[in-house]
Amino acid sequence: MVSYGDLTISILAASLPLTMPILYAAIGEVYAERSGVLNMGIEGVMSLSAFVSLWVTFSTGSYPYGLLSGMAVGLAMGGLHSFVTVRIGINQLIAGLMVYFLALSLGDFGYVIVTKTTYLHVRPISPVQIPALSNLPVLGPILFSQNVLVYASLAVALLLGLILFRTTWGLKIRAVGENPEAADSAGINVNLVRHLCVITGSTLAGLAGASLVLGYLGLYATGDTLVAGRGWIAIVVVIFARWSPYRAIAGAWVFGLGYSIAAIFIGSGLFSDLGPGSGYFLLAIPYIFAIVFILLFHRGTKSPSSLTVPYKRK
Amino acid sequence: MYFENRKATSTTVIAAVVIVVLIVAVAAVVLATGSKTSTTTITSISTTTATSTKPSSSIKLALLVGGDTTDDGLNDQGVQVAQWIGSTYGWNVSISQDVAYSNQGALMTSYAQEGYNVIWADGNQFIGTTEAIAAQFPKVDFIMTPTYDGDNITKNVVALGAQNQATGYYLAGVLSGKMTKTNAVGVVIGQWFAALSYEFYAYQAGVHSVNPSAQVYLTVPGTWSDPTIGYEDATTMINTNHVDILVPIADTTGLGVISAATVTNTTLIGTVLDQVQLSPTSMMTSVLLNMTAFIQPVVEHIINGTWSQIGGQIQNLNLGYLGPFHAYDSVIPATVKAQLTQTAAGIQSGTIKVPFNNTQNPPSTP
Amino acid sequence: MTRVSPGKYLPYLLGVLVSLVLFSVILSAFGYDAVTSMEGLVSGSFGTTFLASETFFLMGPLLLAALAFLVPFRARFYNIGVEGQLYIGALFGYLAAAQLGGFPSAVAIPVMLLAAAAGGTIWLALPLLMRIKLQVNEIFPTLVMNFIALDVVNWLTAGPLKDPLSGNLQTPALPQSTWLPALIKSTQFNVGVIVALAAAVAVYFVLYKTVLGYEIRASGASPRAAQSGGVNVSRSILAVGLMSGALAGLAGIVVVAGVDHVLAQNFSPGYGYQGISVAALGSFHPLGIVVASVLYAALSVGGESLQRSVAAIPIDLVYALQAIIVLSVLVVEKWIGDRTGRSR
Repeated sequence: MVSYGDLTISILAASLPLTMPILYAAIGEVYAERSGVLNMGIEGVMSLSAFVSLWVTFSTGSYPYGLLSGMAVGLAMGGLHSFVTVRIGINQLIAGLMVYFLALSLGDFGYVIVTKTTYLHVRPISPVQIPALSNLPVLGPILFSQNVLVYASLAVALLLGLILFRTTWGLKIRAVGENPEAADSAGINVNLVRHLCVITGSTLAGLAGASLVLGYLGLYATGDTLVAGRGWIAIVVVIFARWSPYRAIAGAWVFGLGYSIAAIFIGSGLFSDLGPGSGYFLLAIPYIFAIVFILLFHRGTKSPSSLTVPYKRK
Repeated sequence: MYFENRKATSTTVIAAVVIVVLIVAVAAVVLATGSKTSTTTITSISTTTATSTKPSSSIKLALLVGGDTTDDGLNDQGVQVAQWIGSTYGWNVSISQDVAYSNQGALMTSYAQEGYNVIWADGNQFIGTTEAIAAQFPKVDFIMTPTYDGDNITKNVVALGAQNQATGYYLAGVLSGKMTKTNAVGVVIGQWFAALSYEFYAYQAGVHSVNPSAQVYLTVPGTWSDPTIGYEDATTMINTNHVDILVPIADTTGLGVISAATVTNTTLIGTVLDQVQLSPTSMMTSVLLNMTAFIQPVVEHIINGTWSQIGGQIQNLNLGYLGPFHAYDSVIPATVKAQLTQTAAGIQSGTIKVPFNNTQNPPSTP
Repeated sequence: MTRVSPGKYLPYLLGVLVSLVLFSVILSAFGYDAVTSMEGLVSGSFGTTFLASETFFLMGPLLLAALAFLVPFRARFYNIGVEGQLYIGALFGYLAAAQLGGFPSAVAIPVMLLAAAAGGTIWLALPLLMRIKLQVNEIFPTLVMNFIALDVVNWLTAGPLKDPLSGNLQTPALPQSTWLPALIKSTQFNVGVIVALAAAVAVYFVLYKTVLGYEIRASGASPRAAQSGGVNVSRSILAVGLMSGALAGLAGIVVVAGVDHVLAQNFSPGYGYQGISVAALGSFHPLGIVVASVLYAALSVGGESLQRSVAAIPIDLVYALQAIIVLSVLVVEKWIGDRTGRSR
């Protein structure tokens, strides 16, 4: 039988690549929501950009192009969302859900068409073994043998946290989110800030989708089975990260861990004796985490005051 | 009105720029799909269109498949065979993909009422519905694949029996037993059905027939549509059980298994169709299902008006065989290849008996 | 909003027109003929008795799901958990039905429907309480509970409730007395549609002809003004929550008892989410939603026909169209409404 020590290390090691796409998407959503706009469509954006980046990398052989094209998809979808919500002013929840449907369908459509002639798969980028550190007994395989995109997600989280909390640009964003009228009187272009934040957020969601393919699975699956709810999870992560990119690291990791536990327990056969269908219990774990966390930490989770309220200059 | 001041203009400009980018991207996609030539593939995949342009026959065939048709799996095979029928026999072929569960009955009834002569339901989720609808439309011929182990079909139905893949998996087991260096191999089955268990037990028997001490591990992720679970389960099997050969029978979940195996250079054995394109470096072979060997005689009986010879039958044919070895061709020793040929011959002649077992629940893992 | 004037529909029609233009452009861009595709959509959804009955069947769960989203929406309670609630409603309905085999339909069916309604409400209860008592935004709990509901039902249909005689992951069949009678023989068009239409009328009545409805709409329009005007906003939210969960549960059982006759894994192709599209398409008015549900159902059924046809247009393109239509309608409505001062 398998040793529990090994199992724990496997679970922890696998949790980081599972965290990565959630983290990218969550950071992006933090920015959008900090400026006052809710973007519910990132699940679809991740799926569409996953397909596009897979196709581009497969066709050109270039991983950077793949990543960039995924981000471009995110940018375009973000522009669409910010146009209809900030410029036109329709209900942000509904707009986001429509973007979700649209992006998801477009990705599936593209995939069905392309795979009529050729199957898409790429080799995910290899982990880097950080010299010396990766040989440490327990922490080595967990922390120091991940791929570049995983490390980049942590770096992006720290960088964007810095920008948000320590620069004037970040100050403007937070001002717009908290009190658009005051920000406007202070000379900040509220809608421009919102456009940029939504677009940035969606671009990061595009990066999340691309990372899911290029940095983890190397393939696409239709019907939202690839992203499989991780975009929605990212939105939940934003809440109990209390709109901070730093705390989003921890929040995203909690879910990566939950998913990892479920998958590896199923894979190790430990649950096969609990009866048929019992594996679904495990699949529900990340979501049960989410509810419990919302319950426990709802106090002090005050959203940016103008979240979902369109701004009109008087 | 809009352009109250220059600041508002800039937001419109930004929005306009982004929309232009989007339009350019769409145009790029259109141009790219137009001029794309297929990359060199190791196996050619038939790309005939859904219906032949000049049907020379008035027979109408409808195919229903349930899920993803992009993974070289069962659904994809159904589509390919149906298209082959269309172009070879001139039948009018209509293919319904991704048929949702609650839609099966309506869809089949729709086809029957629209005058389709033959309805082929490719997927075990259609079994109950097909039994019922076939009884309502006795003038329409029904085909059920891939594995039927009930006893409730009417005379206008012909079904492929549940043991059809066992031969192929037995051979795959023999191959695996000879090729494994760690004496550990793994099978990943999306959900455990009694009908699928034939494949597992045949594989296990094949492995043990040449390598009694090898361990055959089994994982049942419980879903056909979650590549991440497949990926993680496969990785776990590789890391904790040290399997060096993986056999995914798991549709979209199996894609994750294939991915994990490719990344760790673990050998794979594919299912139903030659799945080598999904992992050129790691796919040793695939257990192919010679669906055409089953369908073609059925088609010809229909054309010749001799349906009564097959109507109401559950055909248990040995349709499984091993596909090309591709990248592994030079790796597999000639002695092993010879043994496989002998074993196959032995099965055909009856000197080797492939066990036909099934169980309701999966066995506990070793 | 309560007055119905012809000019009110102009933005809506314009929106539909804009989206059809966009759709044609996209179709052509991918090499499909726009005109035959449109014709295919229409004939594929209403062309034969059977197809038309499919369309009108589909209208049932879509309409109920849309109503389930609409009612709380008017009070600014965003229930995006309709999908999960319809699964749990279907589950409760099934559990009740399984016990009701010995009773005549006139008894069994209403009890089953009640059980389903209760199931949906129970699943919404936690997010509802979190909103009322803890002021937690309901968007996220309702969303997450969708996934939990799916896993619960998947577990039950694969395990404890699974039919041992069937190869599929589903329960044994419901007793015949609980099957919703078909309105046209051997079609999917069943009483469930009547249930949905009755619900639409009931929702219209409650929202526009009762004091409760007035309070609900006032809470949604401006919670603070309503509160100071003497409206108990929390009570309004509780009321819409109860109604919403019940409607969602009905959406689920209509499919299970009306067509499937078993509770199967993944029996819903996303009706809960599609319901939100339908509600938006119906301008968030119960009667508009009735029309929108027919339109949306026609697109789905027509799209499937289109996929089966010679053109073999992948249905994903039609799903994209559905999203584009809703967006276009909303955008045009808002844009024109802003210009003419009639936006809500």
